[in-house]
Amino acid sequence: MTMPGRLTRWVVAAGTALALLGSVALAQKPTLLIANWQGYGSDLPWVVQAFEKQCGCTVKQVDFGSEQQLLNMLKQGGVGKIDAALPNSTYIRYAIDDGLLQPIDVSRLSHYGELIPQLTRLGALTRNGNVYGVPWLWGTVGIGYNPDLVEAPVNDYAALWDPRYAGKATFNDDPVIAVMTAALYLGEDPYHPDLAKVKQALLDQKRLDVTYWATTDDFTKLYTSKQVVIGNVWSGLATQIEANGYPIDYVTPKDVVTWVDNWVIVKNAPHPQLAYAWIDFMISQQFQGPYARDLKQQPPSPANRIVAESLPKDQQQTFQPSAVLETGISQATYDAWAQLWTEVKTTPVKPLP
Amino acid sequence: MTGRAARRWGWTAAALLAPAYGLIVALVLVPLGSLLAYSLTPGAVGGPGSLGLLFERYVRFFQDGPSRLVLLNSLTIPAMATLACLLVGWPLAYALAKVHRRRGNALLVVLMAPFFVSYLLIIYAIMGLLQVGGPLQAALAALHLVAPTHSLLYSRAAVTLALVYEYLPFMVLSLYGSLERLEDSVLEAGRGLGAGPARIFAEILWPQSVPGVIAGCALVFIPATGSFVEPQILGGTRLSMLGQVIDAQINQTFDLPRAATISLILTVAAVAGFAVLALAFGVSRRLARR
Repeated sequence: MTMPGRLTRWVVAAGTALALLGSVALAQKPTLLIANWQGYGSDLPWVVQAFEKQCGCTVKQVDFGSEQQLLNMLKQGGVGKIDAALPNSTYIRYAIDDGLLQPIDVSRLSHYGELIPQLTRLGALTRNGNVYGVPWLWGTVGIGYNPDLVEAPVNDYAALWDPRYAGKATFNDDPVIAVMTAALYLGEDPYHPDLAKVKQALLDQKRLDVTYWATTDDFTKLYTSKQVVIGNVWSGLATQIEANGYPIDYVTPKDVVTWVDNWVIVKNAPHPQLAYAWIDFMISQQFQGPYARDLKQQPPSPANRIVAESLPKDQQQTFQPSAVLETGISQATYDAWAQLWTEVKTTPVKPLP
Repeated sequence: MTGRAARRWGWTAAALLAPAYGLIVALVLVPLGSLLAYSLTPGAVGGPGSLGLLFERYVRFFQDGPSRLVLLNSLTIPAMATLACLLVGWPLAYALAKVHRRRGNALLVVLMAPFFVSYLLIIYAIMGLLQVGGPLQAALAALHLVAPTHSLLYSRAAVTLALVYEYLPFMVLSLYGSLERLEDSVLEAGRGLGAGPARIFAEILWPQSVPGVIAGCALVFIPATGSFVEPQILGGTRLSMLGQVIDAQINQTFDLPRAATISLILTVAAVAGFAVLALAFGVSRRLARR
């Protein structure tokens, strides 16, 4: 969340990283160092233990709190020390641009063939014929609404602009999601929308919102206390809310904002063979199966096709080729979108009655 | 003191003060200087529409209507909170210093309680109080003062309330300090000479408490201008303060020079706002003494 903790967390993470980097040199067993989001499946105790047993190594993790922090971590001393990392499909491009990653020989991954082909074919993951990223988990940012309080059918993002929900809506506080959602609502090209129109649309949308949400906790509080009846929301979060017994219907428009998280191997990784083993484990059914079924972990959709097809119907999502990925955005575009989003957030609007 | 002793005293004093001055330079002047340097770095400011000015980011900030409005919020909300703290805190400090003198210390400890609670917890508690179905909201709805589905959250009042709760102890403590020092004999003399309560307040109590009022304003107003968690959680989309914009520049836009620019603008505005408050109360004291 957009909160004080982030900076602190970054400082703590950076400190931990340094401490770990120091200790790695001294460890006797080979130590795999991975850069990871905290509390995101790959750092669960059972997961780490299972892998350590298989590889006869130790797993150390350094946490990052945002994609930008991951890039900074790699640039400021991480290359040559960190083995594997987890950027999403937007940021992997910048990591490749800056020469922070090494190409991956997918023939060394025994489970690569189990991955959903539409995911492994994503343009963002390859460069000059080389594969740089292995898809791991993915999710959509569709519309969640309370079926008891929303009567009209909800089909696409236009519902977030429906004046019926004035004072009962919320919207995710993220520049890329905001701009892409508004562009899809307007029927604009989501990668190159008319920013003036997008800004106006976001200002119009703001008139309906109780508040913006940034963390899972924000959205859960707003939704379960019935302060909001509709909002754009991560698929995994909607699943979690339903698992906790609150009614929520989740709709993905035909063109839906989608993200994919991918494992990469960092350039000059000290233990490339361990990194390969780790990634192979992460995409295997051994990890993806139990993780995808543990709804308390708020799991996104698994990239492993066999696991995905084995899930209960209401938890299944089909990766649509028309999905609008949060990817392929240049740094300059990101900067412009982030600035636009700050402007939207600070511009006062009159709430709709 | 002979000249030599005085000189030696001078050196000793300088040596003793050096660490303090060193700290001020290292922890105040250097960071402020680097903020200024950061805010003037060329870079993303260029490009189409660039004005080519050294202080371009500052000019742009003030050219932008919403930014000016957010700056205004960052001053008026803390000002309202400061005045509310004064209105609530003054009688409280008076009661502690002059009425319940014997139990004053115990009561002061009670008053300090909010200090021991994380401010995030306070904010969430206020959220619970104001949300639909929360105690305060339900009470007001029962009295037909608000609609039953009307949340008191996400408003200017909610943010102000949180700030008042968090900063009230600072105000009371500084007022207590100046009221406690006031001799009772002065109040008795006033009464003996026929002054009524209003006149005693206007000519003795208030003027005597003004240094405490000004200190309290510094302790409440200045830090409150930098709030960003309170408006983020309780202000909703209706209200923004500059702290949130700085946070967004660091965590979403990654535009550190702009964050530095806004931080410096906020710092200067906070000091200027405090100066206005201090001046107003200082004048009120002069008028009372006339």
